[in-house]
Amino acid sequence: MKSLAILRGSYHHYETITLKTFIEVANSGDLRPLLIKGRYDHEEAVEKWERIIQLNAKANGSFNFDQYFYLYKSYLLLVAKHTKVRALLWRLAHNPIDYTVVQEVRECGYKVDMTNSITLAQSVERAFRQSDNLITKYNSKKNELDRLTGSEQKEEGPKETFDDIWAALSLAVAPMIIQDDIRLSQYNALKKRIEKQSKARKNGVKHG
Amino acid sequence: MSVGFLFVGRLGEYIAKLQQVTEEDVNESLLQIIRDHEEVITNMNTDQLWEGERPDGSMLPDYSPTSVQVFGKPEGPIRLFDQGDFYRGIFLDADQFPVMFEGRDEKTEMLKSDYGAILGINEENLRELNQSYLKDEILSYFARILSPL
Repeated sequence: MKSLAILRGSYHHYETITLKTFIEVANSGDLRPLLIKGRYDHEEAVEKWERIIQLNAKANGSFNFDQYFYLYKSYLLLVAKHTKVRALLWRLAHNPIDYTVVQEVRECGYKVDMTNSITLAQSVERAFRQSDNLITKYNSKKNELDRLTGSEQKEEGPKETFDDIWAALSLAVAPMIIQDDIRLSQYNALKKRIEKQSKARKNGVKHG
Repeated sequence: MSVGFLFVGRLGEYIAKLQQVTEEDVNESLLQIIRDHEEVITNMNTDQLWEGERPDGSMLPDYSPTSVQVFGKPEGPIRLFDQGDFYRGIFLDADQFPVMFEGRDEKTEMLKSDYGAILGINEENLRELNQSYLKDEILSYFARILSPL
């Protein structure tokens, strides 16, 4: 039997995605390149992509603005999906031999067991229950949205990450070499480092 | 015609409507709402800069004594305002997400390099933007696409 780890997809995150892939996904809207291995799940990919976008925006100073619209978008898409799944399940409950609906419910990620009327009823009931997970998900988006546009957010102190250290090393050892496989986080850290050094140089010239 | 048949029929229409809700459409509708409010948003950015504040809430450095005494700049944080070209040049690139604050003025890149992330809006303005301008519009768009027929 295959383990869940094999069935579940493994995706890029902010620290692993290359700049090249980031640009490709941002421009095409196709999230599949985020998948490293395993089975692709669009909802999971959306979550991973949102997180990458958030961290990238944070690194570039436009965090709140981007975050605001991504949260609204995610919220709406989750509400729409939940409403659609419920509507499909209602339809299936009233008209169990509609194979188009069965297929659509399956495409939404829910199992429909057509073995007999009892298994069908049980699977529809289970799908109803499982679809409520979407409520938890969209409420969590709504809460994040409220937090962002409501109460004050506490700023965390700056942390030296591995990428910051890598950026410093890259600058020291081989300045301005941007490899094809540079990761997005490395690129942002490197960019900051270059800006800082350029500023320091300018100040040095001014004061020198 | 039975009530059950009517119910299933209307449900079918509703499902068809919900199936048209695609990520691309939602993106485009949100981007249109942003574009409709571009002036409000960029004005918020320039208001912040006039107060010497960056989008992350940090303050720009103060004008030097020479700037104040010789060039007549006000005391306090740098406003990045001289003739107003930089302010007037700020715009939103809202053709796709992520939406970018950009500048048409040729000094923009130099100012960003010297003063860091200066384009964007702070948390207070984001709250104001949400409450006073966008929230109702976004929610009525949501209601429109989610309402059953």
